[in-house]
Amino acid sequence: MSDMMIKVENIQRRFRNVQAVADLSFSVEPNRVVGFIGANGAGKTTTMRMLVTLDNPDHGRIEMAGMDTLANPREVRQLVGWMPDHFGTYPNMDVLEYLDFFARAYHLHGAKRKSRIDDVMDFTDLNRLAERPCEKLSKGEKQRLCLGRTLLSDPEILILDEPAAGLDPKARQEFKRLVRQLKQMGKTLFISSHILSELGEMCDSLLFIDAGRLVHHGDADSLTENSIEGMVVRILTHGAPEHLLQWIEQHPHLTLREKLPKGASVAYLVEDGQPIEHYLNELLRAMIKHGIEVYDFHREPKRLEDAFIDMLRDTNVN
Amino acid sequence: MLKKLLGKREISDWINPVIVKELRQSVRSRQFVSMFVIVQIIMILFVTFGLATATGTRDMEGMSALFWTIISIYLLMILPLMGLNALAREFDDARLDLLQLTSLNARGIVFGKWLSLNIQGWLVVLSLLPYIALRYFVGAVNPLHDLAALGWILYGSLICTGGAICVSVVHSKVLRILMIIVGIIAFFVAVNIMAVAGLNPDDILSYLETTNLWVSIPLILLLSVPIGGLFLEFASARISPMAENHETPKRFYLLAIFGLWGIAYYVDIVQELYLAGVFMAMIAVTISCVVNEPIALPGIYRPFLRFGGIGKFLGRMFLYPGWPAGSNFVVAVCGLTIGILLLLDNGLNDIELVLLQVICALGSLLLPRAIIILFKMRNNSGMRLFMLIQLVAICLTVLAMLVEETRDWPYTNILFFVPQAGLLCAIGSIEPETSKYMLFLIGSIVTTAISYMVILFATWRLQEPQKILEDQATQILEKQKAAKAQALAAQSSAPAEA
Repeated sequence: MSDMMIKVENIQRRFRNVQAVADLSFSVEPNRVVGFIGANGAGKTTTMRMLVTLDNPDHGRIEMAGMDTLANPREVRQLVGWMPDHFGTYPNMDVLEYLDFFARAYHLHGAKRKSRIDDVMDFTDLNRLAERPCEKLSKGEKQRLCLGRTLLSDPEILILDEPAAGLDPKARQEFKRLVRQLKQMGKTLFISSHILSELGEMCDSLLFIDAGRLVHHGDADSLTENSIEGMVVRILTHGAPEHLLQWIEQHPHLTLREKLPKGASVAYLVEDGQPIEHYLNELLRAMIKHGIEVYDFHREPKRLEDAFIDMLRDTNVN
Repeated sequence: MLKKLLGKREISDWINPVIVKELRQSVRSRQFVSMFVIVQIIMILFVTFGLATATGTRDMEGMSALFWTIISIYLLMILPLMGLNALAREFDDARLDLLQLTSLNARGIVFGKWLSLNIQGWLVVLSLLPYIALRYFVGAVNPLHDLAALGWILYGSLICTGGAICVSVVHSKVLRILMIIVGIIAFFVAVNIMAVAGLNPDDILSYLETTNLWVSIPLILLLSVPIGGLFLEFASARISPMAENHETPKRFYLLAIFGLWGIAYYVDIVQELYLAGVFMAMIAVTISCVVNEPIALPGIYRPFLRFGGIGKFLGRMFLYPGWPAGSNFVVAVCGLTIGILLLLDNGLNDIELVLLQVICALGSLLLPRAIIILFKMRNNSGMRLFMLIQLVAICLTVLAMLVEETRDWPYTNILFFVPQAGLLCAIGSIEPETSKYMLFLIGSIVTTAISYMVILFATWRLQEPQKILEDQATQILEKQKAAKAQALAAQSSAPAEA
């Protein structure tokens, strides 16, 4: 039996003329929080559906806690909790009834069912909403309800598809707290999201997927370090920024990342061997020499989003 | 005592969770509440008006007709219409995935939806019982006849809602609307019958009394089980994950329908009623048999392998899901049909014609599969290809028939090797023992035989992957057995240690 909680080997999935997943392989250790990142249509949801046995790969093999998803789909389903990107609530049903229905559907009976529902409602802080109709819940509350539903069967592995999408900042904070608690409880979490910065904070490692292929697997730092454009500098000047922008265009090592009202954010392609300070010093001196009135100049920590876009660009170029 | 019997479970724990959920939802829904109130108001109005104006039996009969019409409208039209949305709504709101990951299987979901819909109907019917009782006290009605008529409407409602649930898995709204239109037409026929029956409830029973009542009623009721089951199985197949096998149960249901038909045919009762059901079921199941691809999941083969060599043999030959075993099953069913027709030939004049029809039907089923195999068409669009081939064959035949009408030459004979053409001619106007009949009979037999040989050859080529899957399934079974034995050993050793 494999010691990996999730093991994906060369899976492929094709829908008519679209190759949704192409030769994807990765593995996830137990009790890890893994972020699964990719643009829309990159194959995230298809992969996740295959992990939870809702879809089958055309080729390749998936093992969840050592069990093959094709050979033992029923057994795998008992281990896995799936929270899709839609809520899946029912009309004319309150929160308690909704959880009660799913608990029954998981074959939890009598006192055991009641105690499990209580636990889940405590964990997701749904007690005060117990009698509220599902359709009257806010997005954040619905999200917690759906997480509660996923936890009813006490799964070892949680597959969450875009769980933070559309949540307000408070609900996101709340969601992050729940993820941390779930990790402490020994669960393995596999989370997809567009909000990379948040995933960077929550996850032990990140999987980046593009056009159905894995393009990076590692933690957030490894991604920013591996990026081809190592340093991002924010420059603000007095007056209109056109002069600065013209100069950036002429500079061979600089790439404009973002125009700002009073300046720009630029990427500086650095070469190995020289300390970063050297480049910063050189850059500032060159700008002043060129007559650019710099009043704010500092190195920005590279955002995960930027690193991801750089990496995609690099992958496509290669 | 009851607690002891139930163990740690509550009574509701023994009920399908979907029924519990659906009933909770539906009794609160505006749809159900408004329908319930409307039916009650109409009933109160009719009964009050009827009682106020009734001067004799004839007046009460008029009221009865309205009474039965309202019940029929609710149970035979509104309830099935409500069912038409049952599973489509789950698709639209993307909730099926969530249910599939629970311990519920597709069959449980569909059955729960169907039963809860009918329970809603029964709730309304229960609320109507006082009106039946009232009519009895006023006179002019036989409550037993009323109850019998109500029973038949409920029975019809069970079948109709089953059909509606089956239709509700169709994604296309256009197709569903088309089916609703057909349902409405069928409804008006039913209402007509029920209204007439309401005027004189003896009519329903007297119709059945023309044959043997004690045989025909149980047979009709029995037939509804596999027909209803088949409806629900088709619906389950559409929503189930690949790992669930719904093909084999469909075949068993067909065999059950077939067996009941054999009995009905033998005792010579209500043949028309039976034949409609049998042929509908045969068409649906046999198409499903030849269209569906084999499932490459070892879990599917586990239940067969539990029965050892016999299970494996029967599975490979007739019962495994997918066209290889499905085609054999279709051939066997058609063979059985011919056998029954020849054995029980109690005065069937056109046996030769029926023989041609069965052979052509078999050829029409096998030929498209053979074409798909020969031209290595894409597997996942089997149904569309099957229908396309049928359509082409039918269009060619109709064209030939039209040309034949205008010119004095038997153009349809050119298509003697196309079983679909043979079938259409056999249904139309072909005379047995003519040269045309012989031409189509020989042509169909040859085409059917060649198609079947192509299928058998393709099946033979699939033997190896099939064997791998069976081996994997056997390994899983052995692992499960070992785990069970281990658990049992641990259980028995635990008290000893204690």
